[in-house]
Amino acid sequence: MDYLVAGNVMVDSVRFQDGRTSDRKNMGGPAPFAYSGVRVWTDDARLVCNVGADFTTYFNEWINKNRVDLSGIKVKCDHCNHSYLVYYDDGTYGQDDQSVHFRTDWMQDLGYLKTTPEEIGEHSMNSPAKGLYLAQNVDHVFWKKLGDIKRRDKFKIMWEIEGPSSYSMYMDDVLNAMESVDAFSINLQEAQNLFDVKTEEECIRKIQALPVEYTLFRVGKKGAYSVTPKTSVFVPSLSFGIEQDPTGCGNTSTGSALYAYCEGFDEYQIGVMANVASALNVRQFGLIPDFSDVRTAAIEMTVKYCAGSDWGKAGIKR
Amino acid sequence: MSDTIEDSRGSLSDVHPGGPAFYALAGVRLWTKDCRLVSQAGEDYDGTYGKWLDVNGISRRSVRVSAEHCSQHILKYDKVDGTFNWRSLYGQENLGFLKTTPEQIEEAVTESTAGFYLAQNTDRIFWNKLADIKSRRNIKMMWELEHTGEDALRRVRNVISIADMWSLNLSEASMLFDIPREREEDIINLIMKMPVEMTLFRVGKRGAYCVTPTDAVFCPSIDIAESVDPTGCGNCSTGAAMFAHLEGHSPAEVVAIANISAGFNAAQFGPYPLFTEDDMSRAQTLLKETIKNMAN
Repeated sequence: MDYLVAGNVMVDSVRFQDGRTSDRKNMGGPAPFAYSGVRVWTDDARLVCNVGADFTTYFNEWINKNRVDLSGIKVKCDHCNHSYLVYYDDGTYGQDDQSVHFRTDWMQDLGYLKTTPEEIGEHSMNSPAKGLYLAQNVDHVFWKKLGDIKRRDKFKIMWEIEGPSSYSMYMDDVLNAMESVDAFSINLQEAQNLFDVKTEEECIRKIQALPVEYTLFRVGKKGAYSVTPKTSVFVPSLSFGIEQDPTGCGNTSTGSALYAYCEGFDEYQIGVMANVASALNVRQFGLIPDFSDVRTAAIEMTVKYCAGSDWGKAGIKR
Repeated sequence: MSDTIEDSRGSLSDVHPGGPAFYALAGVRLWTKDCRLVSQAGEDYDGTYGKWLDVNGISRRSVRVSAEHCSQHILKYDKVDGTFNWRSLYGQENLGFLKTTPEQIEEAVTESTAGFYLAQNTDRIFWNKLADIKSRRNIKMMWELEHTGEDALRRVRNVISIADMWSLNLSEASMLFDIPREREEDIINLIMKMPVEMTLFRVGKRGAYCVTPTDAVFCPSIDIAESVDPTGCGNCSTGAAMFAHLEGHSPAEVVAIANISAGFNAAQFGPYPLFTEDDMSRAQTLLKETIKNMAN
C-alpha cells in the first residue's frame, strides 16, 4: 500500500455566521479528509484509524462507492467523535458552543481513538508504504516510537501539526518531532503562534529554517505557499465554481501534497495539486463523494496551471 | 493518573501518584503480593509509580509507556460534603489516549489470574470485548462505575451482567437510581436486584456496605491513623473488596477488608508508601477485630 493515512475520524456539524448549516452530520476528521486528498490522485491508499461502531452509519455509502480499504480500521468504542464547528466571518473557526453536543466526554474518546505508532507499524511492516500522513501533537514518546518504525519500514512522513502544539513554547518539541519528519503542513495562525511573528514573509523565513524538505504553508482562502529550505512559491487557491464548506480543506490539501511530494513533483506542482484537492473538497459538506468522478478534472486543472508556469517546465511527472 | 490537592486557599500539595487503577492495586497489595498494574503511562511514571511498584515488589511488566506524561489532575475538596471538583493538567485527550484497552488486559492475564479491577464507562464495544476475554480466560471482573452520562441506568443495565462485582458510591447511586441520598435502604434494595454477585456500596466517611442478592452488611470506616486525604479511598476499597470476594471471604469480611485498605490509604496523601510484612499482619489483626466488633 503506497500511502497510509492515520489519525482521527470525526463526524462534523457545521454552522456559519450567516445562519447556514449543514442539514446533516458530515463525514470528516483529519484522516478521512487527508485520505481524500491522496485518493484524488491514486487508489493506492489506506486509512489507519480507530473508530466508533457508528462509523459505517455515516461512512458506508462513501466507503462502498469509493471501494475504501478498511483493513486499517479498528472499531474501539460505540461512537465516532462528533465535532461541532462554527465558522466566523474572518474565515477562522472554533468549537460551536451553541450546539447541543452529542456527548460530554468526547475529548477523552478522542484520545482513546487516537492511532498509535504501533498501529501504523502493523501496516507499514506488512505492506511497504511510500508515505504516511499524520495530524499529531509533539509528544516525545509518540515520535520516538514512530521514528523507529519509519526507519525500520522506510517511508516518508507528512506531519500536519495540531493547533495546540503550534506555539513558540513548544519549538524544541517541534524540532524533536521533525527528526522523523520529511514534509510539514501548517496554517497561518499556527505559524504565527509557533514562530511568534506576524507576517507571511516572516513565517516563510522561519519555515525555511526548519529541518524538513518541504512545507505546505496554508494561508486560508488565499491559497498556500509551497516552501523548501531554498525556495518558496505562492499558489493561489483554485476553484471548480462551487464553494460550500471549507471544513477539512487543510487536511485534504495536506494529503494531496503528501502524494505529490512522495511522487517527486516539484514545489509548484505540489502546491497546485494541494490546492486542486482543496478546491474539490470545498464544493460540498463533508468528504469528496466520488474520487473516480473527479480525478480527470483534477489532472486537467493541474496540467492547466502547471503548464503555464516557469515552475512547471517539466510538466506533470506521472 | 497523578493528583495534586488544592486547599481552600488555593495552595497545591506535592504531586502524588494516583488514579483508580493504582489506588485499587494498593488496596489489593495490603493483602497479597500477587497483583499487577495493567496500565498505559507517561514516561514520567518511572520516578513515582515505578518506584512505588519496585519497593512494593510488584512487576512493571504490564505497564506500557505510551506518552510523555501521566495524566495529572488537580483536586479541590468541598470541606462540607467531601465531594470534589477536578481539572486536568494535560487534558482529557491525554487521559483517553492512556486508557487501558481490553486487549492490554488480556495480554496481562496469566493461568493463575482470578480477576481484574476496572473503572470504566458503559461503552458497549468495550464491554463486548471484555465479555469475550472473560469467557476465554475464565476470570472475574470488579467494575467501579465511572461517569456514565445521560440515560445512565439503562446504559448500566446494558453491561452490568458482564461484570461479577460492582462498586459505586452514594452520590453515584443516588443519581443513577434517582433516589435521594437519605434513602439508603431503598438504594440498597435496588442494588440487590442488579445481576452481580457482590456490590461494594460506599457511603463516604461513614463506611460501606457489602451487598449481595440476599444480604447487605454495613461496616463503619476504619482509621488506622489520622485521616489525611480521602483521595483514592473508593478505588482502594474496591480493589480490596475484589480480592476478598474472589478469595471466598464472607460479605462481612469483604466490607471489612475494603474499609481497612481505605484506612491505610487515607493516612497520607497518595497511596500507602510501603506495605511491609508487619503492615500485612496488622491488617489481618484489624480484620479479626473488626469482624468481632461487627458480630457484637
